[in-house]
Amino acid sequence: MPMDITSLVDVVFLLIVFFLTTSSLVEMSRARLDLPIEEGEEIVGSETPGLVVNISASGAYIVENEEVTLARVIGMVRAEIEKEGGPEAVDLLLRADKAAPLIHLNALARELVDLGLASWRLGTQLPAHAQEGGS
Amino acid sequence: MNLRPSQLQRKRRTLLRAELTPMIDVIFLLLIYFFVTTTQTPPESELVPALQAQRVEGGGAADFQPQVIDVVMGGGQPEYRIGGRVAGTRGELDAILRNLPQEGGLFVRGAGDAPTGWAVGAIQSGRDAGFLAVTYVPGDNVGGAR
Repeated sequence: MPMDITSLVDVVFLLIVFFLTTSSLVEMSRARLDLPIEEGEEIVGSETPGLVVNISASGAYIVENEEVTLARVIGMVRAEIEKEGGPEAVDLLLRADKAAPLIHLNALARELVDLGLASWRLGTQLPAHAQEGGS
Repeated sequence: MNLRPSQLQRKRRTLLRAELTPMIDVIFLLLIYFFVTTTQTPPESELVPALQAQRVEGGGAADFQPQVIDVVMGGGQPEYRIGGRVAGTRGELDAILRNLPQEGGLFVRGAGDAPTGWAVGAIQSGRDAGFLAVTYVPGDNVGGAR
């Protein structure tokens, strides 16, 4: 019995479309920013943060590719605290463009302190030599 | 081998069904499409500065005083100020930090108009110099000199 190639191509095509779509959704929280180029440090804990807040070069707060106000960001952090059962359990990643004025980071940092969130992660971009070394 | 016309016709039809060329064409075009449309995202790392509000700064008595780096704009250019010293580059800051006592920890205080990259650089320099506790303190939002 001859093999029907057409259905095979259909299935392969659908699989490619599926994986492309789902991988794009994972990357949605990573807005395109010019992050500070630093080595960073070894992080012990989860690889995927609970909440990612981006600060663009112009100072706009961006969450999941949507520009939001500072009040909205605080609302999201508050919801995350309630979901996780306390500020200590919240894993917040802050990705700020290296050219963004610190006034925006400072405003958010003060609000985070008021919410009891004393520690957060700051996103950096690995230098070229570290990328090549695979660290 | 001699085949009758009807057998020959059936064999030709079978060979046409097994043609792989269109499938290879489609897969090849798809591969080109994905290569062209995919954008490479650079790998990222992270820093963890414990956060502290300015109003609670210096609240407790300690045997060791923390070092404080101010990230400010001086004459239109960002610079680091630590004690009475001024560093205009990361290299100068690294040299200053290596000669400071590290037991009391390090505070990085960023003025509002200074760029974020410079504050992150100060946190990284503190980590690299061996400070175990590096804390970010939101500074004056008007920025400028102290």
